[in-house]
Amino acid sequence: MPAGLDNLKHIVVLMMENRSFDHMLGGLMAQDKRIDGLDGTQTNPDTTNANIPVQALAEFQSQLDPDPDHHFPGVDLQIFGGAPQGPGRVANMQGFIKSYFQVQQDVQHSQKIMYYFPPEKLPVLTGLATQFAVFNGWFSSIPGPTFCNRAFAHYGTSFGQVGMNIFEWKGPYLSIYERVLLAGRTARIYYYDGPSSTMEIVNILKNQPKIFGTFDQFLKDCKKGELPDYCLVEPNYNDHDGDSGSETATDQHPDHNVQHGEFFINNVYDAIFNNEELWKSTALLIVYDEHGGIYDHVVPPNCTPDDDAFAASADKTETGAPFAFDRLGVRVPAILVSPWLPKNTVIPGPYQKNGRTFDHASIPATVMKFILRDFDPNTLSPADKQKFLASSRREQAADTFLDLLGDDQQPDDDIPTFQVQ
Amino acid sequence: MARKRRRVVPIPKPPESAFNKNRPAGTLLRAQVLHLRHALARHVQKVARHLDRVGELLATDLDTIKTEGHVSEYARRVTAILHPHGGKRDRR
Repeated sequence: MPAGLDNLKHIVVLMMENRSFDHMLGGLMAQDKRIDGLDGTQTNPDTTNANIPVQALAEFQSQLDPDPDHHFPGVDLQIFGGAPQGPGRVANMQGFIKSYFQVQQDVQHSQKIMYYFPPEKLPVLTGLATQFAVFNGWFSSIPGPTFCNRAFAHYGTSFGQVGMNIFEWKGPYLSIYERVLLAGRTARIYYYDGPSSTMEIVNILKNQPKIFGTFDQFLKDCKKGELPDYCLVEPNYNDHDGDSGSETATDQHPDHNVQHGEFFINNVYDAIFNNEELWKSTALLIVYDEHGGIYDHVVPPNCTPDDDAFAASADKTETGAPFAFDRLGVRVPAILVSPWLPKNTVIPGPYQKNGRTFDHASIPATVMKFILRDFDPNTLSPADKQKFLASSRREQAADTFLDLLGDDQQPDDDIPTFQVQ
Repeated sequence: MARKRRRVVPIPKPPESAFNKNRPAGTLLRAQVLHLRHALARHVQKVARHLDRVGELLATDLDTIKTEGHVSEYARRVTAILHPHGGKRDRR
């Protein structure tokens, strides 16, 4: 077993909101051709049929207001360019401007969906991506909005949901937190604070006392070396008054300020780095729940369909066609941080040589692999063993990422620290 | 041994104007509120289901609790209401 995997005691997932890979990291291709980003030739037609190229003009705030559409029918338009439903339809990623135009009927404004950040504007995200490992092929789990995509990170399925409706846990699958607890290990969701709360409502119903903590608790747990085996960190989802002043949203959901998200990512990274033992024994995955309606050029690949029982009807998808959860959503930024990663690792995507495909179902799949390293499910009662091992088809088929950890540790003096000017 | 200093990368400070708690809530936050209200309603339903049992437990004449078995049964039922996880029987 590689030393990095041997040392691994904690997996931390920080899930941000609504930005596509190309929008945040696509500009890195200019400095590293291995990164499947933007070279300036990518275009989308606007509603006057003019071809609008990608441009490095993204701003931190006030540019993607109103919020771009990222519900199932809107994403269908973005991916298929408006081609009618039916066999033989080809995904071409040509409907992003058309989709954004529908929100405000403003041709000029709709073109801004093609803007991306030059790498120097996002020093934290691009700094971590180039220091550690960046995934060229991490996709949102379904071409739809937040809740169903986040559900894949928690359950390996959205139980047939493609929208924002309230849903509740339906057997036989437990959340990854419950499964980790069944194994006698520890798991937690750290939400930012009370006014921001959590987007993980289903577990609030079922497991509030056992698995929830706040971001303050996360910082304390890092300092004391008491992080659980697995945890998911939620950013601040709204601007509100806190105990010590204004709390600005850090989730990077349009139209929240992207720089505050950079600070938050840095806070999570720093909290882990500053405890030397924790740093050596933790893998931090920074990932976005979905693309938020913002342009990405990589066609989401087909995937193993989810359980038959979870197929979404045409009524639910609002596209006139059912959905078997057999295609991934738009690509999102994903970065793995650990000193045990070779510097500047780029994991090729599905259309590249030796390419790999990941989505949020890769999270519970990876955590299960991590727990099963030294836990024997046969020690559970037969009923608990069955619950512990049950997982959706999508989770069973999902790729995992712990094999990326190697034998050599990056030296501390080469690791970046991000400080406000 | 002290850790080596890290390579410093400067990051700009965001403007004060980034904060606006009067910004209209988007679809995600409105959905979150709906989901939270649903969770609250479910919680209240769960508590309400206990109310008849709470009344029964409060009305119990404690003089009738004489054995360790009586005590443990009363403790189990009260704990199951006050702290659902702690009140469950260990099934293993």
